[in-house]
Amino acid sequence: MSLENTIGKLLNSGNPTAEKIAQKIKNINDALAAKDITADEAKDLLNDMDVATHLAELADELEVKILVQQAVDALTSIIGLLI
Amino acid sequence: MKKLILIAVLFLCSCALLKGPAPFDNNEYALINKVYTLSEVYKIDCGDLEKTKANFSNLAEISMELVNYSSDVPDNLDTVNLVIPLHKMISNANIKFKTETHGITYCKLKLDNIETSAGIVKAVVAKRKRI
Repeated sequence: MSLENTIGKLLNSGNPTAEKIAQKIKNINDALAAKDITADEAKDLLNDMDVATHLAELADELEVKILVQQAVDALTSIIGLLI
Repeated sequence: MKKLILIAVLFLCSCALLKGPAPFDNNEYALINKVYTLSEVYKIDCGDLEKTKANFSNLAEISMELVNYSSDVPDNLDTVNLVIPLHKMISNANIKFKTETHGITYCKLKLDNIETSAGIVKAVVAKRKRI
């Protein structure tokens, strides 16, 4: 699958983080094609995408923990009212 | 009925032992928001080499402050794990702009990447429980 196709699929994935990252990959590709950045700079910018993806995974895990905490707190207060 | 009360009390006690993520912290959020906002604002200075150097240095300072602050907040490992990679990204960029010469496009794209990562951290930190 070509880069354009993959980027196109990501841009229409419906996942805001994936769409944002895909847009950035497209921007890097465009800048490299226009020779506005060097290959080393493009590689460095792509490494940042790996960091962003890793952060998005960690953020999802934290969000689940926050939701679990909210659910436990809500149930605890319901039980507190019952006894 | 007594059994039910006993089960409920045991459940409440076990819930108290469960430690969730640290609650929302104004100072921590303000620092993350500052990194996010400045990475957007600083794009306008990308044409000025000296200003760009100073801007990346300032971003690195704020993100270091964020790591130092978050590390001391109890039950905050989840956030520390988020802010350390963000700081590394900014710190590496600061070194690059201090020691090498880069063009406007690279500067803008780098700030854009920092903004995206800071935005991911900012969004989840804002969802933490308010007390």
